[in-house]
Amino acid sequence: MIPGLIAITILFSASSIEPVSIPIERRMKTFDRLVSAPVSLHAVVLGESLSGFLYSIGIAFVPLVAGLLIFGTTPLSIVPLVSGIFLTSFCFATMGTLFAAYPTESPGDIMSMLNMVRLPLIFISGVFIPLESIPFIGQVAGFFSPLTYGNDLIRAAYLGDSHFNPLIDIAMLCTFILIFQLIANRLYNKFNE
Amino acid sequence: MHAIEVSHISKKFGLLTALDDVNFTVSKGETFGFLGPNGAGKTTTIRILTGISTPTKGTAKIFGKDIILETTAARKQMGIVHETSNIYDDLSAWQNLMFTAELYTVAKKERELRGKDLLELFGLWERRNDKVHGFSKGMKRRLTLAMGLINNPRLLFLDEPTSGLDVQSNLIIRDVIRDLNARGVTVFLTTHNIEEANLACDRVAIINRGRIAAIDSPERLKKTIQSAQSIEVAFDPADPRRLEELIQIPGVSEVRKQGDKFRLFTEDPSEVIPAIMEYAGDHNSRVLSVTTFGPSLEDVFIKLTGLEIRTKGVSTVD
Repeated sequence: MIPGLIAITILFSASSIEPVSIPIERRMKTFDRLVSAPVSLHAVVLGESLSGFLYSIGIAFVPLVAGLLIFGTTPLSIVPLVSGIFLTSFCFATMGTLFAAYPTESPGDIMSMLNMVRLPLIFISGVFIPLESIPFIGQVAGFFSPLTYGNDLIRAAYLGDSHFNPLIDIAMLCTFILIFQLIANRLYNKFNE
Repeated sequence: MHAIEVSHISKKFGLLTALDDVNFTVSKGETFGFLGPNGAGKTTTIRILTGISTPTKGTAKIFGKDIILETTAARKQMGIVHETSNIYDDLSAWQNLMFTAELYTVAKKERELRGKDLLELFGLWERRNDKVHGFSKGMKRRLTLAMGLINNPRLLFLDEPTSGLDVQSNLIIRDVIRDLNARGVTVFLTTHNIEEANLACDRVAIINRGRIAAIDSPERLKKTIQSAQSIEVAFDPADPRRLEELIQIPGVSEVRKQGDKFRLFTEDPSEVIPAIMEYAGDHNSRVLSVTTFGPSLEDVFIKLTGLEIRTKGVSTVD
Protein backbone atom coordinates (compact mmCIF):
# COMPACT_ATOMS: atom_id res chain seq x y z
CA MET A 1 0.00 0.00 0.00
CA ILE A 2 2.77 2.45 0.94
CA PRO A 3 4.57 2.40 -2.48
CA GLY A 4 1.28 3.14 -4.26
CA LEU A 5 0.47 5.85 -1.74
CA ILE A 6 3.85 7.50 -2.28
CA ALA A 7 3.45 7.30 -6.09
CA ILE A 8 -0.04 8.87 -6.00
CA THR A 9 1.08 11.55 -3.56
CA ILE A 10 3.91 12.48 -5.91
CA LEU A 11 1.62 12.44 -8.95
CA PHE A 12 -0.84 14.89 -7.43
CA SER A 13 1.59 17.13 -5.55
CA ALA A 14 4.26 17.53 -8.24
CA SER A 15 1.82 18.15 -11.08
CA SER A 16 -0.32 20.64 -9.13
CA ILE A 17 2.16 23.40 -8.37
CA GLU A 18 2.70 24.98 -11.80
CA PRO A 19 -0.93 24.71 -12.97
CA VAL A 20 -1.74 26.90 -9.97
CA SER A 21 1.26 29.19 -9.77
CA ILE A 22 1.79 30.00 -13.47
CA PRO A 23 -1.77 31.22 -14.19
CA ILE A 24 -1.58 33.33 -11.02
CA GLU A 25 1.78 34.69 -12.16
CA ARG A 26 0.18 35.51 -15.50
CA ARG A 27 -2.66 37.32 -13.73
CA MET A 28 -0.23 39.27 -11.53
CA LYS A 29 1.97 39.88 -14.63
CA THR A 30 5.02 38.60 -12.73
CA PHE A 31 5.38 35.95 -15.43
CA ASP A 32 6.13 38.78 -17.88
CA ARG A 33 8.96 39.81 -15.56
CA LEU A 34 10.45 36.32 -15.78
CA VAL A 35 10.13 35.93 -19.54
CA SER A 36 11.58 39.39 -20.22
CA ALA A 37 14.62 38.88 -17.94
CA PRO A 38 18.02 38.02 -19.44
CA VAL A 39 17.37 34.33 -18.87
CA SER A 40 16.42 31.87 -21.61
CA LEU A 41 12.81 30.74 -21.73
CA HIS A 42 14.03 27.16 -21.36
CA ALA A 43 15.69 28.07 -18.06
CA VAL A 44 12.44 29.68 -16.86
CA VAL A 45 10.49 26.53 -17.80
CA LEU A 46 13.06 24.32 -16.07
CA GLY A 47 12.98 26.54 -12.98
CA GLU A 48 9.19 26.30 -12.83
CA SER A 49 9.46 22.50 -12.96
CA LEU A 50 12.05 22.54 -10.18
CA SER A 51 9.65 24.27 -7.78
CA GLY A 52 7.06 21.50 -8.29
CA PHE A 53 9.81 18.92 -7.91
CA LEU A 54 11.09 20.30 -4.59
CA TYR A 55 7.58 20.69 -3.20
CA SER A 56 6.72 17.13 -4.16
CA ILE A 57 9.86 15.70 -2.57
CA GLY A 58 8.80 17.25 0.73
CA ILE A 59 5.24 15.96 0.44
CA ALA A 60 6.43 12.43 -0.51
CA PHE A 61 8.06 12.15 2.89
CA VAL A 62 4.64 12.25 4.58
CA PRO A 63 3.44 8.77 3.43
CA LEU A 64 7.02 7.49 3.63
CA VAL A 65 7.42 8.51 7.29
CA ALA A 66 3.82 7.53 8.10
CA GLY A 67 4.51 4.07 6.66
CA LEU A 68 7.64 3.83 8.72
CA LEU A 69 6.15 5.01 12.02
CA ILE A 70 2.56 3.73 11.86
CA PHE A 71 2.79 0.57 9.76
CA GLY A 72 6.46 -0.26 10.26
CA THR A 73 6.94 -0.44 6.49
CA THR A 74 10.63 -0.06 5.79
CA PRO A 75 12.17 0.12 2.32
CA LEU A 76 14.52 -2.73 1.45
CA SER A 77 16.69 -0.67 -0.84
CA ILE A 78 17.49 3.02 -0.72
CA VAL A 79 18.77 3.57 -4.28
CA PRO A 80 15.53 2.65 -6.12
CA LEU A 81 13.55 4.54 -3.46
CA VAL A 82 15.50 7.77 -3.83
CA SER A 83 15.70 7.53 -7.62
CA GLY A 84 12.00 6.60 -7.74
CA ILE A 85 10.90 9.56 -5.64
CA PHE A 86 13.23 12.03 -7.34
CA LEU A 87 12.58 11.01 -10.94
CA THR A 88 8.81 10.56 -10.50
CA SER A 89 8.58 13.95 -8.78
CA PHE A 90 10.52 15.68 -11.52
CA CYS A 91 8.59 13.88 -14.24
CA PHE A 92 5.19 14.97 -12.89
CA ALA A 93 6.47 18.46 -12.13
CA THR A 94 7.43 18.83 -15.81
CA MET A 95 4.02 17.43 -16.78
CA GLY A 96 2.40 20.13 -14.63
CA THR A 97 4.58 22.79 -16.24
CA LEU A 98 3.63 21.47 -19.67
CA PHE A 99 -0.10 21.76 -18.95
CA ALA A 100 0.43 25.21 -17.40
CA ALA A 101 1.70 26.44 -20.78
CA TYR A 102 -1.96 26.78 -21.80
CA PRO A 103 -2.39 30.57 -21.89
CA THR A 104 -4.95 31.19 -19.17
CA GLU A 105 -5.03 33.21 -15.98
CA SER A 106 -7.35 30.73 -14.27
CA PRO A 107 -5.81 27.70 -12.49
CA GLY A 108 -9.16 25.90 -12.77
CA ASP A 109 -8.89 25.77 -16.57
CA ILE A 110 -5.62 23.86 -16.37
CA MET A 111 -6.62 21.68 -13.42
CA SER A 112 -9.69 20.39 -15.23
CA MET A 113 -7.58 19.42 -18.26
CA LEU A 114 -4.93 17.89 -16.05
CA ASN A 115 -7.40 15.78 -14.09
CA MET A 116 -8.62 14.24 -17.33
CA VAL A 117 -5.13 12.80 -17.65
CA ARG A 118 -4.14 12.23 -14.02
CA LEU A 119 -7.17 10.26 -12.84
CA PRO A 120 -7.06 7.59 -15.58
CA LEU A 121 -3.31 7.19 -14.96
CA ILE A 122 -4.01 5.81 -11.48
CA PHE A 123 -6.03 2.91 -12.91
CA ILE A 124 -3.67 1.89 -15.71
CA SER A 125 -0.35 2.21 -13.89
CA GLY A 126 -0.48 -0.73 -11.49
CA VAL A 127 -1.06 1.41 -8.42
CA PHE A 128 -4.26 -0.26 -7.19
CA ILE A 129 -4.37 -3.26 -9.49
CA PRO A 130 -1.11 -5.04 -10.45
CA LEU A 131 -0.23 -4.57 -14.10
CA GLU A 132 -0.50 -8.31 -14.70
CA SER A 133 -4.13 -8.31 -13.57
CA ILE A 134 -5.48 -5.50 -15.74
CA PRO A 135 -6.89 -6.20 -19.24
CA PHE A 136 -4.46 -6.24 -22.16
CA ILE A 137 -5.60 -2.86 -23.50
CA GLY A 138 -5.01 -1.38 -20.06
CA GLN A 139 -1.54 -2.90 -19.93
CA VAL A 140 -0.69 -1.38 -23.31
CA ALA A 141 -1.96 2.02 -22.14
CA GLY A 142 0.05 1.58 -18.94
CA PHE A 143 3.27 1.45 -20.95
CA PHE A 144 2.64 5.08 -21.92
CA SER A 145 2.11 6.19 -18.34
CA PRO A 146 5.09 7.59 -16.39
CA LEU A 147 3.28 6.60 -13.20
CA THR A 148 3.72 2.94 -14.21
CA TYR A 149 7.51 3.26 -14.07
CA GLY A 150 7.57 5.51 -10.98
CA ASN A 151 5.29 3.18 -9.06
CA ASP A 152 7.28 0.14 -10.23
CA LEU A 153 10.55 1.68 -9.06
CA ILE A 154 9.17 2.55 -5.62
CA ARG A 155 7.65 -0.94 -5.35
CA ALA A 156 11.09 -2.39 -6.14
CA ALA A 157 12.48 -0.40 -3.22
CA TYR A 158 9.87 -1.73 -0.77
CA LEU A 159 9.17 -5.25 -2.05
CA GLY A 160 12.36 -6.11 -3.86
CA ASP A 161 10.16 -7.13 -6.74
CA SER A 162 9.18 -5.14 -9.82
CA HIS A 163 7.35 -5.59 -13.11
CA PHE A 164 10.18 -4.06 -15.13
CA ASN A 165 13.91 -3.99 -14.55
CA PRO A 166 14.55 -0.88 -12.36
CA LEU A 167 17.00 0.39 -14.98
CA ILE A 168 14.19 0.35 -17.55
CA ASP A 169 12.00 2.25 -15.08
CA ILE A 170 14.72 4.88 -14.69
CA ALA A 171 15.32 5.11 -18.44
CA MET A 172 11.58 5.47 -19.13
CA LEU A 173 11.13 8.17 -16.49
CA CYS A 174 14.11 10.09 -17.92
CA THR A 175 12.58 9.77 -21.40
CA PHE A 176 9.24 11.12 -20.19
CA ILE A 177 10.99 14.05 -18.45
CA LEU A 178 12.83 14.89 -21.66
CA ILE A 179 9.69 14.65 -23.79
CA PHE A 180 7.59 16.75 -21.38
CA GLN A 181 10.31 19.37 -21.08
CA LEU A 182 10.79 19.65 -24.84
CA ILE A 183 7.07 19.94 -25.50
CA ALA A 184 6.75 22.49 -22.66
CA ASN A 185 9.55 24.59 -24.19
CA ARG A 186 7.81 24.62 -27.55
CA LEU A 187 4.42 25.46 -26.07
CA TYR A 188 5.75 28.33 -23.95
CA ASN A 189 7.50 29.69 -27.03
CA LYS A 190 4.31 29.43 -29.04
CA PHE A 191 1.94 30.88 -26.44
CA ASN A 192 4.30 33.72 -25.51
CA GLU A 193 3.53 35.29 -28.86
CA MET B 1 25.21 52.70 -33.12
CA HIS B 2 21.68 53.47 -31.96
CA ALA B 3 20.13 52.46 -28.66
CA ILE B 4 17.19 50.97 -30.56
CA GLU B 5 17.10 50.18 -34.25
CA VAL B 6 13.84 48.83 -35.62
CA SER B 7 13.96 47.78 -39.25
CA HIS B 8 10.91 46.80 -41.31
CA ILE B 9 9.17 44.98 -38.49
CA SER B 10 5.84 43.34 -39.17
CA LYS B 11 3.85 41.14 -36.86
CA LYS B 12 0.85 39.07 -37.83
CA PHE B 13 -1.49 37.11 -35.59
CA GLY B 14 -3.31 34.87 -38.07
CA LEU B 15 -5.06 37.25 -40.46
CA LEU B 16 -4.62 40.26 -38.19
CA THR B 17 -1.66 42.52 -38.94
CA ALA B 18 -0.66 44.06 -35.63
CA LEU B 19 2.46 45.81 -36.99
CA ASP B 20 3.04 46.69 -40.60
CA ASP B 21 6.56 47.55 -41.76
CA VAL B 22 7.53 49.61 -38.72
CA ASN B 23 10.86 51.46 -38.87
CA PHE B 24 12.45 53.81 -36.37
CA THR B 25 15.63 54.43 -34.45
CA VAL B 26 16.22 55.79 -30.97
CA SER B 27 19.54 57.50 -30.29
CA LYS B 28 21.62 56.94 -27.18
CA GLY B 29 20.52 59.18 -24.31
CA GLU B 30 17.27 60.12 -26.02
CA THR B 31 13.88 60.11 -24.31
CA PHE B 32 11.57 58.66 -26.93
CA GLY B 33 7.80 58.71 -26.56
CA PHE B 34 5.67 56.03 -28.17
CA LEU B 35 2.05 57.11 -28.46
CA GLY B 36 -0.98 55.49 -29.97
CA PRO B 37 -4.58 54.65 -29.25
CA ASN B 38 -5.48 51.30 -27.68
CA GLY B 39 -4.87 48.44 -30.11
CA ALA B 40 -2.51 50.51 -32.29
CA GLY B 41 0.45 48.18 -31.77
CA LYS B 42 2.30 49.76 -28.83
CA THR B 43 2.32 46.65 -26.64
CA THR B 44 3.26 44.41 -29.57
CA THR B 45 6.20 46.70 -30.35
CA ILE B 46 7.40 46.64 -26.74
CA ARG B 47 7.03 42.85 -26.58
CA ILE B 48 9.19 42.54 -29.69
CA LEU B 49 11.79 45.03 -28.45
CA THR B 50 12.08 43.20 -25.13
CA GLY B 51 12.38 39.81 -26.83
CA ILE B 52 9.14 38.36 -25.49
CA SER B 53 7.58 38.13 -28.93
CA THR B 54 9.16 37.38 -32.30
CA PRO B 55 8.41 39.56 -35.33
CA THR B 56 6.94 37.91 -38.41
CA LYS B 57 9.36 40.01 -40.51
CA GLY B 58 12.15 42.47 -39.84
CA THR B 59 14.78 42.96 -37.17
CA ALA B 60 15.21 44.91 -33.96
CA LYS B 61 18.54 45.72 -32.37
CA ILE B 62 19.32 46.99 -28.89
CA PHE B 63 22.72 48.70 -28.79
CA GLY B 64 23.63 46.66 -31.86
CA LYS B 65 22.49 43.32 -30.37
CA ASP B 66 19.83 41.54 -32.36
CA ILE B 67 16.94 40.91 -29.96
CA ILE B 68 16.12 37.57 -31.59
CA LEU B 69 19.62 36.20 -32.06
CA GLU B 70 21.29 37.74 -28.98
CA THR B 71 18.29 38.00 -26.67
CA THR B 72 20.11 37.63 -23.34
CA ALA B 73 22.89 40.08 -24.25
CA ALA B 74 20.32 42.63 -25.46
CA ARG B 75 18.14 42.22 -22.37
CA LYS B 76 21.06 42.72 -20.00
CA GLN B 77 21.31 46.30 -21.21
CA MET B 78 17.69 47.15 -20.56
CA GLY B 79 15.40 47.73 -17.64
CA ILE B 80 11.70 47.14 -18.10
CA VAL B 81 8.90 48.80 -16.16
CA HIS B 82 5.73 47.04 -17.22
CA GLU B 83 2.35 48.74 -17.34
CA THR B 84 1.16 46.73 -14.35
CA SER B 85 3.15 46.86 -11.13
CA ASN B 86 4.28 43.26 -11.47
CA ILE B 87 5.84 42.64 -8.10
CA TYR B 88 5.61 39.71 -5.73
CA ASP B 89 3.06 40.68 -3.08
CA ASP B 90 4.25 38.07 -0.60
CA LEU B 91 7.85 39.30 -0.68
CA SER B 92 9.19 42.44 0.98
CA ALA B 93 10.32 45.44 -1.06
CA TRP B 94 13.94 44.43 -0.42
CA GLN B 95 13.36 40.80 -1.45
CA ASN B 96 11.64 41.93 -4.65
CA LEU B 97 14.59 44.13 -5.53
CA MET B 98 17.18 41.47 -4.74
CA PHE B 99 15.29 38.83 -6.72
CA THR B 100 15.20 41.09 -9.78
CA ALA B 101 18.90 41.86 -9.35
CA GLU B 102 19.64 38.13 -9.30
CA LEU B 103 17.65 37.66 -12.49
CA TYR B 104 19.96 40.24 -14.07
CA THR B 105 23.04 38.60 -12.45
CA VAL B 106 24.01 41.74 -10.55
CA ALA B 107 26.84 40.91 -8.10
CA LYS B 108 25.79 40.63 -4.43
CA LYS B 109 27.68 43.65 -3.13
CA GLU B 110 26.61 45.83 -6.03
CA ARG B 111 22.95 44.84 -5.80
CA GLU B 112 22.84 45.55 -2.07
CA LEU B 113 24.40 48.99 -2.51
CA ARG B 114 22.22 49.82 -5.46
CA GLY B 115 19.11 48.42 -3.76
CA LYS B 116 19.64 50.73 -0.78
CA ASP B 117 20.20 53.76 -3.04
CA LEU B 118 17.09 53.03 -5.08
CA LEU B 119 14.81 52.44 -2.09
CA GLU B 120 16.03 55.72 -0.59
CA LEU B 121 15.53 57.52 -3.89
CA PHE B 122 11.96 56.26 -4.16
CA GLY B 123 11.13 56.91 -0.50
CA LEU B 124 10.73 53.22 0.36
CA TRP B 125 13.81 52.56 2.52
CA GLU B 126 11.85 52.72 5.78
CA ARG B 127 9.40 50.12 4.43
CA ARG B 128 12.05 47.83 2.91
CA ASN B 129 11.20 44.86 5.13
CA ASP B 130 7.42 45.17 4.79
CA LYS B 131 5.57 42.79 2.55
CA VAL B 132 4.44 44.52 -0.60
CA HIS B 133 0.75 43.56 -0.33
CA GLY B 134 0.31 46.36 2.21
CA PHE B 135 1.74 49.00 -0.13
CA SER B 136 -0.35 51.70 -1.84
CA LYS B 137 -0.61 51.79 -5.63
CA GLY B 138 1.94 54.62 -5.79
CA MET B 139 4.42 52.76 -3.58
CA LYS B 140 4.07 49.63 -5.71
CA ARG B 141 4.68 51.70 -8.84
CA ARG B 142 7.79 53.27 -7.31
CA LEU B 143 9.08 49.85 -6.33
CA THR B 144 8.42 48.57 -9.88
CA LEU B 145 10.49 51.44 -11.22
CA ALA B 146 13.26 50.71 -8.70
CA MET B 147 13.25 47.08 -9.89
CA GLY B 148 13.57 48.30 -13.48
CA LEU B 149 16.69 50.24 -12.51
CA ILE B 150 18.42 47.68 -10.28
CA ASN B 151 20.68 46.47 -13.10
CA ASN B 152 21.76 50.04 -13.95
CA PRO B 153 20.33 49.78 -17.49
CA ARG B 154 21.50 51.80 -20.48
CA LEU B 155 17.97 51.64 -21.87
CA LEU B 156 14.78 51.83 -19.83
CA PHE B 157 11.38 50.80 -21.17
CA LEU B 158 8.64 52.62 -19.31
CA ASP B 159 5.11 51.48 -20.02
CA GLU B 160 2.58 53.96 -18.61
CA PRO B 161 4.80 54.86 -15.65
CA THR B 162 2.52 57.43 -14.02
CA SER B 163 -0.92 56.17 -14.95
CA GLY B 164 -3.41 56.65 -12.11
CA LEU B 165 -0.83 57.68 -9.50
CA ASP B 166 -0.96 60.16 -6.64
CA VAL B 167 0.82 63.50 -7.00
CA GLN B 168 3.81 62.52 -4.82
CA SER B 169 4.54 59.33 -6.79
CA ASN B 170 4.04 61.20 -10.06
CA LEU B 171 6.55 63.86 -9.09
CA ILE B 172 9.13 61.33 -7.88
CA ILE B 173 8.86 59.29 -11.07
CA ARG B 174 9.05 62.34 -13.33
CA ASP B 175 12.11 63.59 -11.46
CA VAL B 176 13.76 60.20 -11.85
CA ILE B 177 13.06 60.15 -15.60
CA ARG B 178 14.63 63.60 -15.93
CA ASP B 179 17.62 62.50 -13.88
CA LEU B 180 18.07 59.33 -15.94
CA ASN B 181 17.96 61.36 -19.11
CA ALA B 182 20.58 63.74 -17.72
CA ARG B 183 22.83 60.75 -16.95
CA GLY B 184 22.58 59.56 -20.55
CA VAL B 185 20.15 56.68 -20.04
CA THR B 186 17.93 56.11 -23.07
CA VAL B 187 14.24 56.09 -22.14
CA PHE B 188 11.52 54.48 -24.26
CA LEU B 189 8.29 55.85 -22.86
CA THR B 190 4.84 54.56 -23.70
CA THR B 191 2.07 56.69 -22.30
CA HIS B 192 -1.52 57.76 -22.74
CA ASN B 193 -0.66 61.03 -21.05
CA ILE B 194 0.22 63.12 -24.07
CA GLU B 195 1.22 66.13 -21.99
CA GLU B 196 3.70 63.90 -20.15
CA ALA B 197 5.23 62.89 -23.49
CA ASN B 198 5.27 66.51 -24.59
CA LEU B 199 7.21 67.56 -21.50
CA ALA B 200 9.56 64.58 -21.20
CA CYS B 201 10.39 63.43 -24.72
CA ASP B 202 13.01 64.57 -27.20
CA ARG B 203 11.04 62.86 -29.95
CA VAL B 204 7.76 61.03 -30.16
CA ALA B 205 6.43 58.41 -32.54
CA ILE B 206 2.71 58.14 -33.09
CA ILE B 207 1.58 54.67 -34.10
CA ASN B 208 -1.85 53.97 -35.51
CA ARG B 209 -3.27 50.69 -36.79
CA GLY B 210 0.15 49.07 -36.79
CA ARG B 211 1.91 51.79 -38.79
CA ILE B 212 4.02 54.71 -37.70
CA ALA B 213 1.97 57.81 -38.50
CA ALA B 214 4.65 60.34 -37.53
CA ILE B 215 8.02 60.64 -35.79
CA ASP B 216 9.49 63.96 -34.79
CA SER B 217 10.09 66.31 -31.90
CA PRO B 218 6.88 67.45 -30.16
CA GLU B 219 7.37 71.05 -31.31
CA ARG B 220 7.90 70.10 -34.96
CA LEU B 221 4.85 67.87 -34.88
CA LYS B 222 2.75 70.69 -33.49
CA LYS B 223 3.83 72.97 -36.34
CA THR B 224 2.32 70.55 -38.83
CA ILE B 225 -1.21 71.44 -37.79
CA GLN B 226 -1.68 75.17 -37.71
CA SER B 227 -5.47 74.77 -37.90
CA ALA B 228 -5.41 73.59 -34.30
CA GLN B 229 -4.49 77.03 -32.94
CA SER B 230 -7.10 78.36 -30.56
CA ILE B 231 -8.22 81.34 -28.50
CA GLU B 232 -9.70 80.92 -25.06
CA VAL B 233 -11.99 83.78 -24.10
CA ALA B 234 -14.07 84.54 -21.00
CA PHE B 235 -17.00 87.01 -21.16
CA ASP B 236 -18.88 88.88 -18.47
CA PRO B 237 -21.68 88.00 -18.22
CA ALA B 238 -20.93 84.32 -18.91
CA ASP B 239 -23.77 83.19 -21.14
CA PRO B 240 -23.62 79.61 -22.45
CA ARG B 241 -25.83 80.59 -25.41
CA ARG B 242 -22.92 82.46 -27.00
CA LEU B 243 -21.74 79.18 -28.56
CA GLU B 244 -23.95 79.55 -31.63
CA GLU B 245 -23.04 83.21 -32.06
CA LEU B 246 -19.30 82.73 -31.73
CA ILE B 247 -19.16 80.09 -34.46
CA GLN B 248 -20.44 82.78 -36.86
CA ILE B 249 -17.22 84.83 -36.45
CA PRO B 250 -15.24 84.68 -39.73
CA GLY B 251 -12.18 82.43 -39.52
CA VAL B 252 -13.50 80.34 -36.61
CA SER B 253 -13.73 76.65 -37.49
CA GLU B 254 -14.96 75.26 -34.16
CA VAL B 255 -16.10 76.51 -30.76
CA ARG B 256 -16.04 74.48 -27.55
CA LYS B 257 -17.45 75.58 -24.20
CA GLN B 258 -14.93 74.88 -21.43
CA GLY B 259 -16.36 75.74 -18.03
CA ASP B 260 -17.13 79.49 -18.03
CA LYS B 261 -14.88 80.04 -21.04
CA PHE B 262 -15.08 79.40 -24.78
CA ARG B 263 -12.35 77.89 -26.95
CA LEU B 264 -12.39 79.12 -30.55
CA PHE B 265 -10.29 77.17 -33.05
CA THR B 266 -8.79 79.10 -35.95
CA GLU B 267 -5.89 79.16 -38.40
CA ASP B 268 -5.34 82.89 -37.79
CA PRO B 269 -5.78 84.11 -34.21
CA SER B 270 -4.68 87.66 -35.15
CA GLU B 271 -7.71 87.99 -37.42
CA VAL B 272 -10.17 86.52 -34.92
CA ILE B 273 -9.17 88.46 -31.76
CA PRO B 274 -10.40 91.85 -33.10
CA ALA B 275 -13.62 90.16 -34.21
CA ILE B 276 -14.12 88.81 -30.66
CA MET B 277 -13.68 92.31 -29.23
CA GLU B 278 -16.15 93.66 -31.76
CA TYR B 279 -18.60 90.89 -30.85
CA ALA B 280 -18.26 91.77 -27.12
CA GLY B 281 -18.92 95.45 -27.84
CA ASP B 282 -21.98 94.64 -29.96
CA HIS B 283 -23.40 92.43 -27.20
CA ASN B 284 -22.65 94.80 -24.29
CA SER B 285 -20.28 92.25 -22.77
CA ARG B 286 -16.89 92.64 -21.21
CA VAL B 287 -13.97 90.41 -22.21
CA LEU B 288 -12.47 89.15 -18.94
CA SER B 289 -9.56 87.27 -20.47
CA VAL B 290 -8.15 86.22 -23.83
CA THR B 291 -5.48 83.53 -24.12
CA THR B 292 -4.09 82.15 -27.35
CA PHE B 293 -2.92 78.56 -27.65
CA GLY B 294 -0.77 76.90 -30.28
CA PRO B 295 -1.61 73.37 -31.35
CA SER B 296 -0.95 70.81 -28.62
CA LEU B 297 0.61 67.39 -29.04
CA GLU B 298 -2.83 66.04 -28.23
CA ASP B 299 -4.21 67.89 -31.27
CA VAL B 300 -1.52 66.27 -33.42
CA PHE B 301 -2.34 62.88 -31.92
CA ILE B 302 -6.06 63.31 -32.59
CA LYS B 303 -5.43 64.43 -36.15
CA LEU B 304 -3.00 61.63 -37.00
CA THR B 305 -4.98 58.83 -35.39
CA GLY B 306 -8.37 60.00 -36.63
CA LEU B 307 -9.77 59.88 -33.11
CA GLU B 308 -11.64 63.17 -33.65
CA ILE B 309 -14.48 61.49 -35.48
CA ARG B 310 -14.73 58.60 -33.05
CA THR B 311 -14.64 60.84 -29.96
CA LYS B 312 -16.45 63.94 -31.16
CA GLY B 313 -17.26 66.15 -28.22
CA VAL B 314 -14.67 64.53 -25.98
CA SER B 315 -11.64 66.72 -25.41
CA THR B 316 -9.34 64.26 -23.69
CA VAL B 317 -7.72 61.25 -25.23
CA ASP B 318 -7.31 57.88 -23.58
